[in-house]
Amino acid sequence: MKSKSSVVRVLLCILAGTVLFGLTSCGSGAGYNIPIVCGETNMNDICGIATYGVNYYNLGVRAGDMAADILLEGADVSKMPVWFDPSPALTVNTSVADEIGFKIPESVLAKVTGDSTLEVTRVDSAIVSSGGNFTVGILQLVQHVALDDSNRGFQDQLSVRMAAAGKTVTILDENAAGEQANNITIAETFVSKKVDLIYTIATSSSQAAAAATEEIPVVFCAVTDPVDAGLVASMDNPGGNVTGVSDINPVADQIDLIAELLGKEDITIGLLYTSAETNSEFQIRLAKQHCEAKGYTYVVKGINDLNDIQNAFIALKDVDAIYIPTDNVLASGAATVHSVNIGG
Amino acid sequence: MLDTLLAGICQGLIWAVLALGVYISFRILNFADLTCEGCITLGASVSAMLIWKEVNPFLSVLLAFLAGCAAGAITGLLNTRLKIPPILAGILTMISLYSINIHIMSLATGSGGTANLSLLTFRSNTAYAQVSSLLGLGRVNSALMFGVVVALAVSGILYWFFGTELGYAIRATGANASMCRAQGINTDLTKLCGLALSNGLIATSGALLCQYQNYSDVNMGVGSIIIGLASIIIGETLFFGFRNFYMKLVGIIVGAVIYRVVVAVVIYSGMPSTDLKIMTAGIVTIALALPVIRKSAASSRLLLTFKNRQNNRKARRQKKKQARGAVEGGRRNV
Repeated sequence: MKSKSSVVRVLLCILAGTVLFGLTSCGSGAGYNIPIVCGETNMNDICGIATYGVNYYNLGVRAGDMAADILLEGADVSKMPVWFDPSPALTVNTSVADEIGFKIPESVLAKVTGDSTLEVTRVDSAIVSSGGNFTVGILQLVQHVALDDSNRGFQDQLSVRMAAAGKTVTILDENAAGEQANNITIAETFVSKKVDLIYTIATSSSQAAAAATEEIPVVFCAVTDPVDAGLVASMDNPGGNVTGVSDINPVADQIDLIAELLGKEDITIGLLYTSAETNSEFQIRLAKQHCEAKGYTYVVKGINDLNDIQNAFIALKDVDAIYIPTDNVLASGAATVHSVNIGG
Repeated sequence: MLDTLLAGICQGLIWAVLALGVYISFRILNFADLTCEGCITLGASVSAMLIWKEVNPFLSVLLAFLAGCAAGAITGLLNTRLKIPPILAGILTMISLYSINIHIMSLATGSGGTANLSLLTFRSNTAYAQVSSLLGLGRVNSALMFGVVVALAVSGILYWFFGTELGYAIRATGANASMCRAQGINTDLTKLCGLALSNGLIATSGALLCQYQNYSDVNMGVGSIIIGLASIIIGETLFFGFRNFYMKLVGIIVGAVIYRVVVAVVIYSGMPSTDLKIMTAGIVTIALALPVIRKSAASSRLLLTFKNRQNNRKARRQKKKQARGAVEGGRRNV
């Protein structure tokens, strides 16, 4: 009796294994090979074919300019419009295009320029460890390639402007190390040290600095939607002590790029994003508006985490191309997106 | 420097409410509850959402407390009804709170997937702003006053509560659950009440924090359990000699304040920001090691003073007497 039941169990296991193996081999054998356009350059390097990407170093440089205007020329923060990059450089990824068997049109390839990073030579003598003409506090949320870049760009440009004016600046560079409890602690430390300006990188850090002071000028960077974040009253007229640089990517241009890549106007675009991310939600809203304006058909697919990618591709298998906005979860899973796409 | 210290104390008083909550679950109930990280954000989200809906900010803190109680009760039910181990029950509630918090914040903006809710446009309608305008003091000073009042009120209420029959039953459940059941106490109910109260306080702390820093973010709870535990350990180490329950609660408040002040001073001193985490770990390690260090220092004294020896003898005698009493009492019961 006992041996019989165990034989049945073994047979069942073999059956289940065969079914599972069949399913997985089906899934991996096929591959979708859909061209993907991403919101940012880092993700494009892994799974996209082409995009207009924001350069965070350049954003930092621009923020450094704003800070210098405020410190050296006494510019009015409340009337300083929030800046964003209107025409980021085009980058293409030919290796991914080759892998999925997609031919990037010559017209797009012709538009690619070289490295778009601004060349700013840091003047070390303008940055002193203490006792500078000005003191600037930097509050960064977490160590992260893009955020580090915007920190470096800011410091480089500020040093150049200070040197040109014959002044020096003391920089207090603090990082909350991903722990948001430290945001407000650092912001209040800057306030009690009476710094002349606070430079904040990422949304929650900017909000903490804005909460800590209504007098000291705050220049932010890497905030996608500063109006939603409550930092400024409007993009053109901040109306308070806070202004800065937004890292919004040109969603409309990126959608148009898809049409240009495909070489036709009658297209269906899959919009793939993480439903829990405010920034992505905002970009998807812009993307939908633009698709409607241009008459493109779109299919929206929100995921919860990386485990949903396979299902998302099944839902999107009939689209001409997929658009992924600047999205933290999908950016961290770019390799997974690529392997699902090519069926690896 | 003084401003930094005051700001550190301000934040410490907010975290003290969380530390008291963590104290109830970890120490009094002896239940390693990880709901905390989701629950602090729950409190912040509920409070921020209600302020967006123009609810009175003080009332929003109260409602955040109730939301926290509900979250704690769910952890309790998972543990007592479904027999899921404490740590796992807490984790399950914590991860589901991640989605719930986003839904709560989305209620305010009306668009799905709001992971960060700003109160900067409502900054005049936070509890701190109202206290500040009422007292006519600056931001930090008024927050300090408010924080002291809140911390004293919470600890006072807890002292009263743990003196009631239910409170004693909760404390007894943590000390010896089997004994409690033998005495006819429903330990499932006491666990549920304790966890609800604990998480209610954690959510209250989150509500205060979000009104203080003017935003609620789905990731703001990261690392909060560490802050809570570190505060408890620092408080217990400093208030080592006190047997009085109220002094223990005060010790935890002081512990939380010290923790935040130390972090503020570390940042003020201009230490490289990459070293912040190791500094935090260092503070906690020192606090954890203090009892051991004190013990070894005490035992290294070769000659105990006469008074100490006398005390020891007295204690031993008392213990013997108690043991004898217990045995006789047991016989009588039989």
